[in-house]
Amino acid sequence: MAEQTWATQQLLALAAQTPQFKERALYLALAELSEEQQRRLKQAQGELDGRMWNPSKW
Amino acid sequence: MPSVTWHPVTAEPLNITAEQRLLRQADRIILQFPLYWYSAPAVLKNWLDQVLTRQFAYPEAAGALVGKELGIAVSLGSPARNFKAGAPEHFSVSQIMTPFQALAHKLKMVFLPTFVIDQFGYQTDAEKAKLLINYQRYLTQGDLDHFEAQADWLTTQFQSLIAQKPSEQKQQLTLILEQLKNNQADLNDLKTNLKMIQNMEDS
Repeated sequence: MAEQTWATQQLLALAAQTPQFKERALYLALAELSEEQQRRLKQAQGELDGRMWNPSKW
Repeated sequence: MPSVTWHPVTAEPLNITAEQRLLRQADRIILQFPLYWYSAPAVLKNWLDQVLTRQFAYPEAAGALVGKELGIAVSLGSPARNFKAGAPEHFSVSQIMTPFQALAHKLKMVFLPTFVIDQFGYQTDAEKAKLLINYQRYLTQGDLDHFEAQADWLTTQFQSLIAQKPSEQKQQLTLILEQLKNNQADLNDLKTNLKMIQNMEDS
């Protein structure tokens, strides 16, 4: 599994130490958002590199 | 949630004008019920029959609901995976909700994808947490299908939470918030660049 970012780690730590369900639920959802952002950033960066390296357009 | 009105429908006699006023105030109307014999419980059906008068609801009359969103939050007595062709229940939840979709269509409302709750009693704490957030999003998030709208919704919620925190915690939480917002801005930049390249490739 990919390495978790700083924000994800912080949010998961906050979730683990928060007894209130609603607040904990928000931290968990934000941690998931953070991971999904990283996944999409990596994908989009990869696609951008791939499209820029396009010999048929040289 | 401050922008949400929770209104239980009971078997008590109805004040139709008051019920209609509540509907007029709402942008998104969610009917929430347990599925009884593939439909809404009688009390909700009775409420719909009485409150949605022609004068009030028909687009060619007052058209009070035109342009508003209609959503259904339904809890199922059997697993959601059973609701499809070839599975034990044979029909999908979308098919079962067709009468509500027809209602929305008739009244020129926007019908939202149905929010399904199943096997609540078997859910783990993490699953319930996710369900809560998805339910809150269903009630108040602008565009339900878009990741960007979801990111905006979550960061806005986070911002209101931060506002209630003591200042020593505020700083830590604000750093996290900034990080999430920066990620989203970077993602949007990348998407814009990608779109530009795609357009160039197409031309």
